[in-house]
Amino acid sequence: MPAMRSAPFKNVRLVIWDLDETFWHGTLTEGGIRYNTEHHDIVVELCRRGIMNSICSRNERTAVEEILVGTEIWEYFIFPSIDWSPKADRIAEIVEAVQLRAETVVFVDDHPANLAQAKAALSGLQIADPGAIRDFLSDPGFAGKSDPDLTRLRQYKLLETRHVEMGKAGGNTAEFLRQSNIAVTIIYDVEKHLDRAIELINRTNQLNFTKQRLSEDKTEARAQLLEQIAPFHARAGLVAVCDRYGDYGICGFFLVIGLVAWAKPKLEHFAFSCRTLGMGVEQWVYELLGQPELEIVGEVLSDLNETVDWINIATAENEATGAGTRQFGEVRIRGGCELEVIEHFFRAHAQSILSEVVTMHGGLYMPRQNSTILAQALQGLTAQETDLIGRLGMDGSFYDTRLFEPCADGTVIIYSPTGDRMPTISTPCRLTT
Amino acid sequence: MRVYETMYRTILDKAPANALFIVVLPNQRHNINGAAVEDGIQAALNQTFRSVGEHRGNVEFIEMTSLIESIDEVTEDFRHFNRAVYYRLFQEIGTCYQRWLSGGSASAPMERPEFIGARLKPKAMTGRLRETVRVYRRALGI
Repeated sequence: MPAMRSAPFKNVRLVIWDLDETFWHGTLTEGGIRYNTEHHDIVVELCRRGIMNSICSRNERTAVEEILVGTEIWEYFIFPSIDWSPKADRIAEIVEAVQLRAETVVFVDDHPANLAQAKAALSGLQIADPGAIRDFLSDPGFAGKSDPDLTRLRQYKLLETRHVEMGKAGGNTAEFLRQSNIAVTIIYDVEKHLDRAIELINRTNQLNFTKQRLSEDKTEARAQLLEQIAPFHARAGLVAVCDRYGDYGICGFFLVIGLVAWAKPKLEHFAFSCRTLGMGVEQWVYELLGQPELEIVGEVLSDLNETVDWINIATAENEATGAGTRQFGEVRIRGGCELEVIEHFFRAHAQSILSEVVTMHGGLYMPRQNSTILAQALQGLTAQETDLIGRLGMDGSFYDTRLFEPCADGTVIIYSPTGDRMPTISTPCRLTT
Repeated sequence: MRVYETMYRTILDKAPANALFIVVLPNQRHNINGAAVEDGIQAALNQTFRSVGEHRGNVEFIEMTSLIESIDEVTEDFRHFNRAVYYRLFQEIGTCYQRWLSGGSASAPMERPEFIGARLKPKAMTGRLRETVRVYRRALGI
């Protein structure tokens, strides 16, 4: 039989295998099979290339599982679909569950009608008959990306476990997510994970909101990103995610630039891996960052306006219990733009934040980094002083502060008097480009 | 400096007794074409603020100068730094806060403890300790 394929294969990320007369010789329910060790080895090698393998077969699941567990290949397959129902719908379900585009999936089956139905049901699906299997490993479309530690397989196994558990929850996604103990760690030391940040910026699509790509040359990309995250007004972080099912690793990266004193800060990069698609991580991070200005480029699979109440910041305590413990009590900040910059570090770790930093008020900058003004605010203004500041275009709000209001135990107040070295009415930081 | 001393006392006197009050003392070194140049006025202001607050149990001082590892990290003017310096400031605040919560001395130099907020390797020395080591090294000529 001549090989039937969607030639040439392109950028394959998943192979969905039929079993009878495809993965192995013979038909299981019709007198037994002869195991094909070459195909066994191909599946293992594909996993080491980061290309996943699934099963869509008409068979008895328990009998199939027993054979594949016995040959120690069962764990190399994700989302196996083994029953007697038509294959086309089940292939569509696998592709949806794995969160890949059909164009990156190859379905291999010995029955031409199965291949035709699957291709008709899923636009772009690549197909192959068993004659094509022997060439998979030498085909450029199956080059994949080296993954000798099977990291990608482990990530998909996590996804599969979550998928099964969500099914048991009866379709109540929010309730399932609340019970998943999703915990996020923000890693601010971006320089130590620069390559992962570049990978997220350049390789993600469906959850990359800005799509501001860096150079494909690694050295140049590093230099570009280092330059982007260096300015004092840059707020950058990587997002690591875990839940009760496992650790998803570093899944996101953000870069916010600008200060409130200039205008609304803006997201330059906001990119997440699809391995956390549907967990609400990107919505939670966007809220955490104070919903900066965001110009969405191209199509994305997530609505940032959805409310997420099931994510906590990761701490030693909640990694075990899922409880949302915070490190700081209330944090009160007063100072110049340098304290606006550090405020974002506290957002994930403080119960609440009171921020008095340089802002615009009418046509004037309101300096909060000056001890003359703060001390005067504590003593109150005389009528003469009130009149005087009024003539300068200021009002009493310039001399308001909530910094010293009664507070709960454990409150921390941070004050930065950078304005004392300057004239009382200071100018804000300059934006350099 | 007497005027500032009065203002700083007014401010610190108002700090709630049950809160930790952290004063971030501004950097006192300019980056002049890659060379570190001391700002005498800022140094005097910092010294004044510190002298007013040093015996208060709920007041802690963090010197921005001690968080700057290289003068190249000082950008634009002496009040603005590379992003990494601000993260060190956040870490230092966390260290002060944890020490205060555990009843430790506000002025004693100590190793930076494991600090959540990042799965990061803690820095080997706090800014203050680093400064102390720098002074000793200078004195010993090493």
